[in-house]
Amino acid sequence: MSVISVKRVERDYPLGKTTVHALRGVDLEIPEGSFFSIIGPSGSGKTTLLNIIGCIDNPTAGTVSIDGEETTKLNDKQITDLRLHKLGFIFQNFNLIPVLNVWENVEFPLLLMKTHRKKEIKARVEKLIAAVGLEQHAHHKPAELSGGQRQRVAIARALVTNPKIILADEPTANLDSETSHSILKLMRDLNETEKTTFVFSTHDPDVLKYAKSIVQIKDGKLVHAEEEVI
Amino acid sequence: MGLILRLSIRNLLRQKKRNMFLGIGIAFGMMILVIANSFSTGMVDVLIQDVVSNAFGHLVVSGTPGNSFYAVIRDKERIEGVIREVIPPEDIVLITENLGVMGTAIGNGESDNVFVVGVTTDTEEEKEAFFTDFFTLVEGDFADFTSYDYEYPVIISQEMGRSLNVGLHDVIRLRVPMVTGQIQAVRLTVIAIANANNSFMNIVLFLDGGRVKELLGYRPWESAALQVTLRDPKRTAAHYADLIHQQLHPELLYVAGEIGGQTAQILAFQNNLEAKETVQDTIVITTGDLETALASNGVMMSENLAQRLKLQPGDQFTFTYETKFREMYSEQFTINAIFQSDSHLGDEVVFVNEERIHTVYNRYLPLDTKSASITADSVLYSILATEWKLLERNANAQEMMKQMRDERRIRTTQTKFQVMTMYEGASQILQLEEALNLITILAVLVLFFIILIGVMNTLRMTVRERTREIGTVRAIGMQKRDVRRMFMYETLVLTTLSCMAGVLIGIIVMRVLGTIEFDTNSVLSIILKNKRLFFKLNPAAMLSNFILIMCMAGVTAYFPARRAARLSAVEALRHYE
Ligand SMILES: Nc1ncnc2c1ncn2[C@@H]1O[C@H](COP(=O)(O)OP(=O)(O)OP(=O)(O)O)[C@@H](O)[C@H]1O
Ligand SMILES: [Mg+2]
Repeated sequence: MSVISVKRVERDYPLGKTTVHALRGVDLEIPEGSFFSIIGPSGSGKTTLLNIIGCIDNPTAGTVSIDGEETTKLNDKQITDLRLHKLGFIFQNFNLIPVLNVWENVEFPLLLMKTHRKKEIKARVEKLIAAVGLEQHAHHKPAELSGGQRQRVAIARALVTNPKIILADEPTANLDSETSHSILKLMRDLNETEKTTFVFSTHDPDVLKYAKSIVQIKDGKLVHAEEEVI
Repeated sequence: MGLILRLSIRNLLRQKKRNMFLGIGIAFGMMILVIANSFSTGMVDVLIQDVVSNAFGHLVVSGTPGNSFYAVIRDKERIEGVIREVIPPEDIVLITENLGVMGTAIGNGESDNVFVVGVTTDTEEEKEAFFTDFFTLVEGDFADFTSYDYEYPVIISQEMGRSLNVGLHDVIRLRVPMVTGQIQAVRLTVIAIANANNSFMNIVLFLDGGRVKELLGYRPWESAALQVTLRDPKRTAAHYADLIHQQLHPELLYVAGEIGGQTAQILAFQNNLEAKETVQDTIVITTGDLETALASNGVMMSENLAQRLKLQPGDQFTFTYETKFREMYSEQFTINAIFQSDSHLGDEVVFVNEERIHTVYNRYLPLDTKSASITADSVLYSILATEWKLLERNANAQEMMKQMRDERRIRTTQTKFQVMTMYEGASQILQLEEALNLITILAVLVLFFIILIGVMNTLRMTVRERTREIGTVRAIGMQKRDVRRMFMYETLVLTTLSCMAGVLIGIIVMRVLGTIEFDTNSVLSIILKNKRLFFKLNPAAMLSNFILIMCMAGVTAYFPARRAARLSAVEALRHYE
């Protein structure tokens, strides 16, 4: 069974008197535990698609189900809760909270959940900071970190709640190629150890060798069905 | 600490400069408020406590004979009894006599108008408290104040000493009007030179209360206006004044005595047209002239009594009665008319115009005032004179002035009783406080306006700058409500800290201002205490100001905060600056 199910999703943006059709009927099933890549040129609709899967944007038409639940029917509070519990985000610009240090940034989603005890939180945060190799930097502010380190923090933050799915929109676009490789390797490793589903977009063919499944998007449409790379 | 609050505080610290500016603005506003409030509280304190209540008491009961200017309560025990009956002892701090009179003082070649005040202290503690609270001793010894080594020991201010050119142990000659209308001249000896804590008091000569009473011609059982210092005047003064007013309802003017061995009573009719007409319509004159009998010194006698005494109109007789203070007193009257004895007044009555008897009555209060046989259903009852006239209570100083003017127009010898509180008497001063508060409020409104714009702008800027962060936390899973709360907390924490800083700075500023000495004798000096501005912190006002500022900051912050919370996560994440 797919953990993500996208059915005939369309997304139009009104732009002055015309309409931009960013997605024109996308059908996509992503099975649990995938390491799934969406590739496409700039403006093809990758971000739009990921935002809709990530429940921070709504499709103009079609439905999206996450873990069997149709998200397009939920209200803002429910959808926010769903994001908190089932989804993790990694952004191209890292988007850490600048006033919080590494530890606090990672801890942040757990505190929002309000369901964990202090000890649990500590153990979980410690484990993830170790997993992304930032033990030495736990008390540094984002501004004191390199781009690669920041993205590691973002990965730890995305994983800390033990989400079903992690969505990453061009996670390596702002990193040099060496760092990109280590980040993708880290994601791939975590995909294997934690069994978390990763969906990430890229327009860099170099990145693709890490993907287990790839789908290509062009002008708002998937051009050929996913294929198993490995 | 909660996550949201922690974020708010961190974010506050992030924009140090901007928030500092806003904080200083709010702190400044709060400071002004605290100072203004403390000043008006202090001023009212000085005026009410030190000037008004010392000069007039919280509640005053006074009796003024006719059109005179001085107060004489002829029966201190009775009136004080009424006061003590109405006010429970735990609410009374002190009952004193208002012994104050204007006079002329002559020192060494210099003279000045002065205000003589008699200080009555019943216990050593009261005396001690009075001297230490009220004065700063420059020279001399307060212990001499009640000493009999000097005929009239007096405390004067340094300023008074200068203006009269007298020093310690010098003699001041004083001329004051007595209650009897004569002028009294005495020699005072300066036993202490001391400055009262309010320069308003610098024109006062302080003398021992007992000796002032003597000096002014009060007899031992008489008293000047009685002033009551209350525990909680704001709450109780008006209420107790009303109750005392009810209790002071005057009795019929009535004297029981004898004429040539025959028991007789004096009743009086009111000296006004209506009363006289009623008398004319009710009473049948057998001999004599009604016209003269109704005049202001008119005397009528019941036919029955006149026959027994063999008296005719034009004859004189002596009425003798026992006074309340166990003396016998005799007064001579001349009969103007004789009236037919009937059921209205009885057989033994001397019926006089009230103006013929008030002075005598008050000076020699009769022992028996209660056994008049005339009853309320008598036609004459309503026009009979009463022992005194009880003036209506007034709501404010204007009403009081008007009442005084109206009363002055009617020439009479009847004593007028009045019950007032400082809130009516000092209503002008209290209005000054209100005016001051109003000015404060206006200043504050302007300040608030500035603060409002500050909060609004700062928050708008902050929200715009942090749009992408808002998008991030929303995407991660922070609820709208918490985003709104985060921005609200930021403003409220800043406001709280700023208000606290404002209070602190205000206290420091007041301390500094309070050390400056103002050497002025102008009207302004009455708001000074020991020549300094006097501030008194008003925690309740401070708290309400704080709440007010918090509410305003909260309301202003709410809208930008809500806007931030309502941002769409995608849009916020796309935000580019
Ligand atoms: N908020 C918006 N308003 C109007 N048009 C939009 C908006 N967001 C996206 N679009 C348009 O939708 C199309 C898809 O955009 P999208 O950002 O999904 O592309 P992308 O594949 O992520 O590109 P890139 O690789 O440059 O990030 C583009 O033509 C873009 O201009
Ligand atoms: Mg994109």
